[in-house]
Amino acid sequence: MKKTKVILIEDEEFTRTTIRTALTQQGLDIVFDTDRVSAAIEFAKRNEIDAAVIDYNLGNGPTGIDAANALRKNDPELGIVLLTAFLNPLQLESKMAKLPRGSKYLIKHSVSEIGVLVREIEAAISAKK
Amino acid sequence: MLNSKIGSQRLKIRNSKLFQESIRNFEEETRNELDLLASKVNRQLHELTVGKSASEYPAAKILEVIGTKAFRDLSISLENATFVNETESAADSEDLDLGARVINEKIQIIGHRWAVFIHGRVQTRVSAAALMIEEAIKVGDSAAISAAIEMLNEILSNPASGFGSHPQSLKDEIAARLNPWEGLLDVELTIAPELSEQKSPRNQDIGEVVGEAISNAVRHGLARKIALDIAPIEENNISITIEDDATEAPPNEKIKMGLGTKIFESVSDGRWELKRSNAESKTILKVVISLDGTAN
Repeated sequence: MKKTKVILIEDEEFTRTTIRTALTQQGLDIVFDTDRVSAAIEFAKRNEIDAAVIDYNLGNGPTGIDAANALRKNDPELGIVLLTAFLNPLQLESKMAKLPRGSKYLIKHSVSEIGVLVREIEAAISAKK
Repeated sequence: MLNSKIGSQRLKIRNSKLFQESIRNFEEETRNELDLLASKVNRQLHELTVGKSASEYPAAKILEVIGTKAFRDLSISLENATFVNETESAADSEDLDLGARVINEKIQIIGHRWAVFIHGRVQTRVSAAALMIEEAIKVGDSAAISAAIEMLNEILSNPASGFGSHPQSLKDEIAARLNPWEGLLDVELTIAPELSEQKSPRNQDIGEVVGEAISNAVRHGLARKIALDIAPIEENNISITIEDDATEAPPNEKIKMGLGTKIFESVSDGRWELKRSNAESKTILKVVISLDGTAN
């Protein structure tokens, strides 16, 4: 069976490594992980991927939503899951950009069981088929 | 120079003892509260793990403490740091005198910096540690549980570590703001050579203005290209000019435009303007910043 190909954008290294390891153990193929939006966009242009898991807060510069919109421009069929540690991201960004259609939004607190994230990735891919 | 009268009034307030004390108190209160909440969680973790080997740790209880309690407690701290980000907050009130407005405006900006830090660093790492423990339990990996506990101790014993920044050269500060946008936006940058290597305490403020201007141009104006120019002007001021090819016009009114406006207003001491040329399909933001005084 073909493995689901996923890219991961997360600026916090410990978190990125933990999520990558956990998703790999669940049978997903993490084809690329990075802390840089530009690197993810470049990779997505050259490779076939099914979904992107993106942290909302990527430090200075673009947010996860900016990254999601840029990736979608490149591939309208891409499944997208946005992760945030924040219960209400509007507190961080009063004029938050719109999420791309069919994207899933997940609070990191609820991801202590990795199955939740895997299900959201699958749902995000199905939403775009 | 843009609104030089307002600029000098605001600059005087920013350098006043009351302003400095108010900002210092807010910073200390936020830092102390975060320390207190984190040390409480760390103490509970210690009680659950002391004298035991990793294979004997009560993982379910540990997860309860960090997966639920720590997250909830740190969220309380986060709310305190962000309550000032409400759009109808005191800083917007026309009834307040200029001094109170300048102070409240600055507290909103610092509150936002704390919120981003608690969200992006502290809570994110606590959540990742919880995930690591959960996965380690499934496969009986006590070394991984031990590593996660160690990571939690490190985060919770000094949760504010890494908050704030040391002055870096203007060139590096601007690069740190521009580089993450690579691939999403083309930037033409000009920094006057005499400013480029300067390590002013105001560099972080300048960087914040640039960062905010870019995100507004991309998100709300759908810009693909910007020209950024930073140059010295009279009386130890600098001017920042950002011209973009936004297809969407910015709002006309300065008031109640959210945190971005407050950053421009506060950092420039009220000396900024936004102009739109629909004919040429471009937006120009000009901000004047004084290099006098302390960091804002």
